[in-house]
Amino acid sequence: MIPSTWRTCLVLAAALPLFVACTTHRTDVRNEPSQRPSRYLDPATATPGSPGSIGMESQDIVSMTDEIMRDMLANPIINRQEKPAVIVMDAEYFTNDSSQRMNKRLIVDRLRNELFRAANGRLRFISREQQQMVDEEQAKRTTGQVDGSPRITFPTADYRLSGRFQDLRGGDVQGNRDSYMQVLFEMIDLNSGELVYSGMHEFKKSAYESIIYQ
Amino acid sequence: MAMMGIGMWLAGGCASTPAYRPMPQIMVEDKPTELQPGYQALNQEGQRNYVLNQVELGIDALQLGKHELAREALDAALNEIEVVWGSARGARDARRVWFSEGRKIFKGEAYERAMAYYYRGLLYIMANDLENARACFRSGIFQDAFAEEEQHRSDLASFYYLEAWCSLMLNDNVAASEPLRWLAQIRPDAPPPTAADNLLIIGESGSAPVKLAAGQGGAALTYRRGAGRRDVSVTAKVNNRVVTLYPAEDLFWQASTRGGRPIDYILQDKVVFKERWEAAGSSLTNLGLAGILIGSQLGGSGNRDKTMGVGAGLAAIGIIAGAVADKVQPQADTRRIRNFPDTLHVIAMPAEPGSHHVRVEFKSDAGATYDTVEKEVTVPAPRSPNVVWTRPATTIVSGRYYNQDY
Repeated sequence: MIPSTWRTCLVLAAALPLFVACTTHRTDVRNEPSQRPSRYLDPATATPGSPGSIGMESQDIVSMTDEIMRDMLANPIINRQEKPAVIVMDAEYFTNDSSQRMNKRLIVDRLRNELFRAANGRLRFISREQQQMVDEEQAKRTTGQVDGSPRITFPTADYRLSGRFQDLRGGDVQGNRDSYMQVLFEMIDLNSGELVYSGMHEFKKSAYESIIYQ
Repeated sequence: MAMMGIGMWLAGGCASTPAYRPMPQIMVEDKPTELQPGYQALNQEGQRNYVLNQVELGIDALQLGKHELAREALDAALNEIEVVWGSARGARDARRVWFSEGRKIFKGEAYERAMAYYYRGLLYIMANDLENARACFRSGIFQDAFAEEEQHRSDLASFYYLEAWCSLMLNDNVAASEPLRWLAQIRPDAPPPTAADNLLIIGESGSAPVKLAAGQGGAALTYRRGAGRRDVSVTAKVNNRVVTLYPAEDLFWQASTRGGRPIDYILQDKVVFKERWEAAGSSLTNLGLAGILIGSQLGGSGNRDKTMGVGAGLAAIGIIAGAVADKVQPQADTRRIRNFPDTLHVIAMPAEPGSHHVRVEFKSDAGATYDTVEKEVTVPAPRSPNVVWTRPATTIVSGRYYNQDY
């Protein structure tokens, strides 16, 4: 039988490497350029395993633009049966009045694209953002650099998108955090200034912040 | 079994935080020379100091006029700050007695998170994206909204000033009214910006607050003012008009008036735990040594060996208890972002379209000018907003001393 004092020494000796290993811990870097290959994810769903945030995410943009697109197409003034309405839909009059950094074109571009595809010619769009490109081509025609005659007039738009993204953030000292987001989409009649469409998408998210970051 | 149990218990300390994928060396070498140590630090220190290194890099890049790199770094830091991790990752470790608070993935204290938004907001202003700049200042205010001491919640006067200025420049008087109201409440002496004040001038002076682990076991996080000169005034001369910048924010005051943090209670519990194990270890060791001593004096080899054996056993348990106490880490996290200023001075003034020469003077306590920064700024159109951001000296810190513990 091993005397107890020797047993104690053995315990301590066994524990020593563990102490050493723990105190020499340096970095948390995996010395490899890539740990997993890229993969495709559905932008309409939350990333599996991702912690997420209480701000706007890809799935929010997808569901919001889908909803507003359907709503706009159901509007009889915009989606009229006779001559197709001409629309300007860009981010110029879409305001970020929230506390979140965002590229508002992510919302407006997706909405325009979805609307364009779903309308299938029943709506026409004018790109004011690319007006310079059109002007340059017209200038070349005017100076004879290219074939074709310059256009004297350009079509005007019937409606233009405006909107506003707002939020209200809250929380408490216990670590609860929440965010209410409200996105307003409006279509303005460029002849009369009349509001011909108004749609809103709103949602709220909450989370609990770890105690060590409160 | 007992040995294995103890071994596993102690080995628990070796669990690592999540991995960070380092930037390939060729990309680091492609960065400006002054910033390369910062990117090396980013690679070396991984996820644990990711936010810290990115914010320091962002501010350094801004000082060097490398706005694209500054935007990248600050966006990366803010994306991480905005993530709500719950109980995952290093957050769990930092709450355990075997790890110091510094084990956690750094997201900074409230004033540090707010300042990360401030710098990103400045970059948005420089890029003429006032809506996102305003969003940044609002987010900065939100970071300061949960201080323990209620009177110090959301009291970042400079952020209200900047938010209001952005709204005014966007012709959004309704949105401007709320931050102006808060500004007047927090700092009644502050000159509020008006819709005509399209040129924003910012002067940053002094150095960042220093964090200290004080008290028993270093469990109390305290602050001292950053080293260096404490300025009293900053003036700007724009086309022969002299204006005094308003000292809107004292960062040391912001850092030190927040009150206690919830983590402080956990750290205090660690101190109590450590003290109890220390006391137990000390008592058992003393008892064991006494047993050995008494045993050695006893007659009869049987009694002597038995008593000495028991004494040795108690001493060994005492030593283990002492070792356990030594492993307890109650220290507060003193990592800090080092290239923040001490004070933010800000003023907005009207400027006509055209090019303007701006001379910003930093004056010492005695009123003597100790540093001057001169910049050219262009206002392209009437009421077109622009910003002049100045510091008395360019101080690059990112990556310096990265192999030291913060």
